[in-house]
Amino acid sequence: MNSMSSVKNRGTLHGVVRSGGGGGTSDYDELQNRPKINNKIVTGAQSGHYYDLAEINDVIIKELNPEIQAGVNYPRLEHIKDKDDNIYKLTYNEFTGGLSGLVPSVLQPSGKVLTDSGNWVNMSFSYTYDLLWDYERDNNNVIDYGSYTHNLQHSIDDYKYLIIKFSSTRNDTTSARWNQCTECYIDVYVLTHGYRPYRLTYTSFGDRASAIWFDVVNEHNQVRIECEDTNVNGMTQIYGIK
Amino acid sequence: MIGGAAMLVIDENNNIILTRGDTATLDIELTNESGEPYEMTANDRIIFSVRRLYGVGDVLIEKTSSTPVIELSTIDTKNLSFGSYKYDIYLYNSLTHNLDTFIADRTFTIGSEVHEFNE
Repeated sequence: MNSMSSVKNRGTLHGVVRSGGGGGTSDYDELQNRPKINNKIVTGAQSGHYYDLAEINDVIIKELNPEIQAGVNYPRLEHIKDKDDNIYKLTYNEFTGGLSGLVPSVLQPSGKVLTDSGNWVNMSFSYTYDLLWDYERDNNNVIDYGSYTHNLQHSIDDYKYLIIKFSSTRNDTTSARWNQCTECYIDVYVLTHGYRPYRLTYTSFGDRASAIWFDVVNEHNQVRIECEDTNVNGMTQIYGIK
Repeated sequence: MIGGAAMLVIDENNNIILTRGDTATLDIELTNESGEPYEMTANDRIIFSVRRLYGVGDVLIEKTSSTPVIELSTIDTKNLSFGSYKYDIYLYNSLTHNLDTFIADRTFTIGSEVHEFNE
């Protein structure tokens, strides 16, 4: 091996921390300064008009408790289906484990169900939903693979949130991956009044990324859905929550 | 970069370009909100994480340091595809369990190398 001691890549990064070593997030302040709609923080790149999956969940986190100082990917909300077929409960995942048990590095289900008994950690709500869009299927009722564009025929005005459920690829439908980042929430108000179109990116398959675009197409707030990439494809469901 | 010297480039917004497979030392200048240098405590750790998309998917590179220096080795990037990734750096205090993401959602670009390095 050659000696490279005289040649070394070296550069400097700059960061501002809060006193006491982590009282919050510095870039969180920047998030706070981003546009707000109906007192909700609208994250995402304004110039690119898109929102990433984790950021969407952050919007929800902020709404549940505006005081929480969550990092942009920590913790992550997840909702689970209750025994009742039409009832969901929110849970959240948190980082545990890591180096010497000190450094949070692995996102794992906490097993905690959020209830509305007080603080955000124990808060939850149950809700009912309407299925607004089911998987794209071919003539044989088989889930169709391939990018597509479709206009949702329902007005979304009657709903407060949309839940987008991405599903795994055909040959990679293990439960772990199935449950990984497969759901996110869209605030309908943000969708109809915010930056458009509304892009959600999704990835859980190595370096592959897929995206789904939403755009409000008319005064009835019908939505055009465009799925791009052929990795996740048509395996998307959309629910409306009132 | 002209002249083939773009082994490591860091712009004013903390976006990073690194040639795939290169070793690199990232010094981190930490200041507090008053602009004064922040001295890490014994309970502080700095965690550098790279993902394909910000906040989503597998962590491709993760480095933990008790000093404001992140060392990247050849193995960290040699198997990554060329292109843009996202990284963040946070400060974690094991005593208070406070977590401070002081650099978030910045670009980490892997550039192509012209050589092949085999250990």
